[in-house]
Amino acid sequence: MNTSEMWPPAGRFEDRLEAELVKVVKEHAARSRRRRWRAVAATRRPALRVGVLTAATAVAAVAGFAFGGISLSHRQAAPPPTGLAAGAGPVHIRTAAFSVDTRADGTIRVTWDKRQYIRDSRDPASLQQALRAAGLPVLIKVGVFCTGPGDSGSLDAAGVGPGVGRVMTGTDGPDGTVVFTFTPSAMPAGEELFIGYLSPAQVAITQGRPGSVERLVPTGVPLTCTSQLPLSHPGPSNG
Amino acid sequence: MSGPAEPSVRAIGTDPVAFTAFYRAHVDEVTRFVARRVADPQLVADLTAEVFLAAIEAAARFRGSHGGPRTWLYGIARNVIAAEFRRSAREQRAESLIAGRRLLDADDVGRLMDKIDAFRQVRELHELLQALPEGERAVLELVAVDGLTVGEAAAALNIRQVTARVRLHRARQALLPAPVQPAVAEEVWS
Repeated sequence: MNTSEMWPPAGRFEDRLEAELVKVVKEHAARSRRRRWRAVAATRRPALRVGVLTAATAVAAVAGFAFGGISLSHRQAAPPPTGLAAGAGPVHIRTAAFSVDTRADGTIRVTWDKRQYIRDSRDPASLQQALRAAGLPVLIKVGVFCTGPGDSGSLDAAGVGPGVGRVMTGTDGPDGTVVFTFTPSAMPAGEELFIGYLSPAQVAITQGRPGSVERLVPTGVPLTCTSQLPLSHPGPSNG
Repeated sequence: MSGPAEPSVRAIGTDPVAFTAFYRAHVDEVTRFVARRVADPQLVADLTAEVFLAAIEAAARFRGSHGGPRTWLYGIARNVIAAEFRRSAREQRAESLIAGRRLLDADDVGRLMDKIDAFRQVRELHELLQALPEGERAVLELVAVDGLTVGEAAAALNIRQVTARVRLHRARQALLPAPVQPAVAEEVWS
């Protein structure tokens, strides 16, 4: 018996083709769901598609679930790594939709379910609290953008300022999840991560490109904040 | 011949149930469409699979067709067949999601050969039409080889009906006195 006699299984060609095509349809449906999510997410956090992800994405995403019964635990563990904010300890947050964990190497791993992110409202304050508790000095605003004294305000097309890429990176994970890694030890002394999430009206102007602004700002000094978009481009074509 | 309603056509790319209904309603017709143009049962199987794969990809863009799902599918099938005659497309098919010929057994080949044999004269006509300019050939092919009305052919080709009529007239003039239409219509629906 040769291979062609062993395959295909019993039934007509049309039946076997139907079975194969149905598999393709199911895969196509899964891809379509992912594309729809990306299209929606792009209006809120377009920088996901670049190597360095915007922290505001994490803000909106994680904070969106913060009301949903976060369990926040501080554990007695090894001393915080160099650069970790004073008083910070290991943090492990679990909800049905996301998790925030400090890791042995001092980084903070944030994961969440994109679908939950889209459905839930934004709550930057809760994420700011969670990330600060995990040791990341961060200041989060919505619709307001802050700079430190003497800051030129330069941003790349994704709305990311110099040095932010050393502090946080992110990747798309399987099944619509996103994984961010924050590195508090990479935060320069005397600075914190500022995340300015665009308001819905501002997102309408940029069409989600970008959907947030991140930069490093000094701590302990007054910041200059404005509701004006700190972006030179008028629309999505620039990034 | 009636097919699923238009909303179901849009769903076939993502809804297995909708796709199954659509597939079962049209698979025989698509196979015959291919067999009217290709004499190799292995290739008929490959191209039949390709037509439905293309339909799955295109379903979300379906916005209705004057001739309904059938003419929409015919338009897709024509594109698949046309691509087959380009070398690049044949090479690309080596990477296709489904190799239809791998799903064939001896009985299937026999059934396909029966269809292929039945359409021998139609394939000869199809080859004859290749000498015509593309626009005219496309209309005459769908009308004479596949038995579509002029309106359905226009819908399948996404052109105005009056344009299709003009092209059909020109094609027939170019082919006269070749006795094509009467013999074909009888063959197609035998």
